[in-house]
Amino acid sequence: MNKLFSLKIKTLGKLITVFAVLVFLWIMSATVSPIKPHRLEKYSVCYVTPPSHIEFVYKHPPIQLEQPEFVNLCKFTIPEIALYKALTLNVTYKLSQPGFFEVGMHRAGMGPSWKPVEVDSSNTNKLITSTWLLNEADLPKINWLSGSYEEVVLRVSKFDPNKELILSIYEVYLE
Amino acid sequence: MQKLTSFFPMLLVILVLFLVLKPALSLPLPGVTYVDLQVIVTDFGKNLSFFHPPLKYYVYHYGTQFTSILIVYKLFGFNPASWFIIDVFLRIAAAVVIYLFTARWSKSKLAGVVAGIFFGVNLPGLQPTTRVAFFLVYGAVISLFIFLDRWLKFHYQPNGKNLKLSALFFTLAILTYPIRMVGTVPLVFMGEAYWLLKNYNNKPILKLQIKHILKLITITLLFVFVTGTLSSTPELSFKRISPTILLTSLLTGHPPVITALWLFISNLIISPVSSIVSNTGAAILKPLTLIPLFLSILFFLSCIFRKKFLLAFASLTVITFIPFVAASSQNLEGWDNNLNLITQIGGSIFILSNLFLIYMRNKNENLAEIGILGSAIVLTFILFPWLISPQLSNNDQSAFNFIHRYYTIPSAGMAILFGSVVAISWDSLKNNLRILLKLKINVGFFRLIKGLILLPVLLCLPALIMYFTYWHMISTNNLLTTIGTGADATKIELFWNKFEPLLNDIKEPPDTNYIYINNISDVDDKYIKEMVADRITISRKMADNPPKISLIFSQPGFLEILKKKTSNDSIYAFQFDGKEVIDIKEKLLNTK
Repeated sequence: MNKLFSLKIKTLGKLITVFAVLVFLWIMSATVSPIKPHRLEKYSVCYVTPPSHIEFVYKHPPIQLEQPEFVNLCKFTIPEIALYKALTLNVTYKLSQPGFFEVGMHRAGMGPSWKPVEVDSSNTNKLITSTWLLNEADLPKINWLSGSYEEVVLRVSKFDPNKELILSIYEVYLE
Repeated sequence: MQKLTSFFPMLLVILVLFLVLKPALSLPLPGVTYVDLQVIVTDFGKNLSFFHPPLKYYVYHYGTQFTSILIVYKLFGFNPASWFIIDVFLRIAAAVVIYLFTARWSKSKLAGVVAGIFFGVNLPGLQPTTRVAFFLVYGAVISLFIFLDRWLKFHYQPNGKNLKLSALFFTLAILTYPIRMVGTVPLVFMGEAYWLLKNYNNKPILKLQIKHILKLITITLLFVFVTGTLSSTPELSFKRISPTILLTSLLTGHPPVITALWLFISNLIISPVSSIVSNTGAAILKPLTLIPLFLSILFFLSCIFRKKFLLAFASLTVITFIPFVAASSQNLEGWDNNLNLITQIGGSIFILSNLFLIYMRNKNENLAEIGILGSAIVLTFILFPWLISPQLSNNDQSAFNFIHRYYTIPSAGMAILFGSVVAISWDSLKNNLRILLKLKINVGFFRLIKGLILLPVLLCLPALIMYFTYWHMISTNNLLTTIGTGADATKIELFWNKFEPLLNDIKEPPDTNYIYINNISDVDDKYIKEMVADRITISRKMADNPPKISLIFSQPGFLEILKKKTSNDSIYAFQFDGKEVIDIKEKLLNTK
């Protein structure tokens, strides 16, 4: 009985070795000509599609801040597979005064944000669509093994806090 | 006398490491240390009391790390020499423990010496020295190997006493530095599975082993769910990868995760940031790729000749490795040629070393098993942290920072693997020579070919290992020397010790403390700049409300400040000539 079991274990060991070697060869050969996922078709997040939009209005804080920031969150589960397939993050928005607009993504309250876009006075109150590459070299590769994200951060900085600021979001999507 | 000579190998390890690491002893305290010291103020309160944090803190992720920093700070303050002496002492002590462990279980002092030296000089694992406050990582290495020693003792001599000691040292090893020791858990359970299968028909031993496993499981569960020692945190949740995406990446090759993991392993063998790679680059790396490829083919043929067909089949992994990595270069976005070549050489040496040990297992089981244990340490302690934190960025935690604390424990694993390969090759060469001399020329042609075909592997594989150990030696010594160039730690401390008592009126915010330093010494302004504000905040227990400190190094700049300062702001002006700090405020105000 013991001998039979020993034989079975040995055969199993050999089979596992053969299987492991084949898997290894497959994994290494896959890096030579990787099977890239189909590009993601427009994947909307933040429950908003034009012409409807969300408006965020800046309220002046009780104390004067040297460099105020207007931070807004949009809770929305962004599935890992969408991030894996996506190449860009896009936002269509309007700003009521000049400033810098920036987006980020959070997972457990943390995550990367992308380079801010300057909105000058000639572009205020106009619809702007900004596009960011998800895999910028100086950012964590968020679609490189990443899991799902939970929220999108929409932030405005370097604006005049003494004037009214309205950030209107018309669309946020991955592509 | 014989007893005395038995210490020579250990003394050799100590001597080599002391010579390589000596430049560290005269380094100034790195600027980042103040970040770590700020954390101890947060964790232990501004009075730095051990009773300030809750008891749970001491068994939590970073509790021991910051407690160890606090102890050294309380004992030696900002004195860099004391910090670095402790650090270098612990690194050498860890290397000695690795020497003792390897020599004991492989029954080869040569393996122990190679392992101890390889660990001690390893460049990627050097961050706990360059960032001196992380010295406890070496403590973690020591406690890991004490546990592994007790663990092996239990498995080779299973009895109740050894079982208890194994479980006790498992607990202590995790508690030494929980966040660095996470890899211990998968390592131990992989080992337990191996021994279960090995002893499945020996009922009394099996019974003890099951009892042992149950104890280890209970301890792990307590650490996860009760003490929180191995529990998750929001930070870890953020960094955790998706198993679905990992599997998809591995099977589709996009993105090239597997190549990156091979690069991390290869970094332990040839680091892309080593001074030799930086100076010579592809010119030296390219021809080197041919050697492991050639050795792999010979190894394959040797397996065929010796009818080890399964191992011959497994050696296809190493034969195809270099061509696969070379061919995938166009998909490795952002990789330079050196990274690709290093992955090819390092990865193939790692795979070949493991296959070679399996091949030689019948000849020297102890060495082979200890070597494989070394590989298991490399894999569990590299993969586990980076399956949680796989950033490809300039992030502090990225594996692409090739000198990192995450590499320190894996470098110990690689050291044991390489120690075993060198020792087993040496033993085999000696045996072959003996047989050849005995047989003289009465050897058949086929037998001679069979014997000779593995000879290049026996010679070249350890030679490559020793060559790359030499690279680490040079690069580690160069790095420590470069960090210290232009940074005279004695003068920097002299400045601080004379300067600090002169600051008699440091104001709290919103007031500003303007400090002009006319630095006419050869100490670079940057060393003064990076320490003054943080040292004042920490030593004067002002972390709750850090003072605003503005350092000025030019006289016109200082005179400009005098015009705009408010009446409440503090003004200081000093001159430092490398020996004395002189108060020149009055003199400057009078000549304004």
